Amino acid sequence: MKDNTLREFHYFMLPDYEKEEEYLREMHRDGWKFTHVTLPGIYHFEKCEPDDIVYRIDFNPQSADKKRDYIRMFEDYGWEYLQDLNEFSYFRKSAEEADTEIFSDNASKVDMMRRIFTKRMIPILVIFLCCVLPNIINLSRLGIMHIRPFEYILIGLVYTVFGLYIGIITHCFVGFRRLSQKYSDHES
Amino acid sequence: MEERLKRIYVPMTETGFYILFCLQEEMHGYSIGKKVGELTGGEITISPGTMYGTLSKMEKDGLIEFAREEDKRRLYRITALGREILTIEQKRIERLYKNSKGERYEG
Repeated sequence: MKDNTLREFHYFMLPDYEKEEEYLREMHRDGWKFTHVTLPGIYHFEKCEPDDIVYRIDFNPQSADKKRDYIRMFEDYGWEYLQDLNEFSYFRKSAEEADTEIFSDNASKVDMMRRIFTKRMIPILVIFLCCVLPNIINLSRLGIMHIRPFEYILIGLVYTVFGLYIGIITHCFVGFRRLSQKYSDHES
Repeated sequence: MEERLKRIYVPMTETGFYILFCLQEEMHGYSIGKKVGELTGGEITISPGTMYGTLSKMEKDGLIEFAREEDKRRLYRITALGREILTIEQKRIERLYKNSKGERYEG
């Protein structure tokens, strides 16, 4: 029984949703059908006949009563609704069916990217500017002579978090820039 | 009409125009999509993410309003403000059409 399921860890950052869609499609082509994803990025699959299935991810947080209408609309269009994670909604549809895009123009792709930026990226920036950065500034004022051994671990931790944040923020900015260039290049 | 709305909706995207045009009757997202397909001989498709996003934006800006719910689907209809914008667009398109045929537009 155990061989029929598979779990994989993948961390897709905010601007990487198209890579995530492609990853799920590739897995299905290899005979692994996506069942669900849990934090911090564990993808669950079950064995299936290899098939070309398109996966799409939308980000459009809404209230519960609108959510029903939202899912219903995607179902009317032939999409299977899979789940929500962090308010990102997962859908799939056979590649042979008509209209395998969830956005029919670039303006709405840009709108989705903006929603992700405002609702997910800005909180990260706020935490960075209000919590991480002040700590780093405080630490840099500390004289190195008076540090006790166990404090090294703490300081090391703070610097690691700082480095991680810098990495994530840089990656996200580069990613969002690449996406907005891509969406404007395709404008007819 | 507010300047902000004019900036956003005049001129309108084809998607926006067709959605607003269809909502002169009460409709839900998927039925709008189907009708647009029929009206344009399949030239224009509006995918669900685009449809949902446009409907939400237009509802927030007061161009359309929630009419009723039917079988978990929300039906919308155009508002007075929406009609005003639609009329501006229809005139603009008429001018464009006449000019494209080499005719003069008299307003």
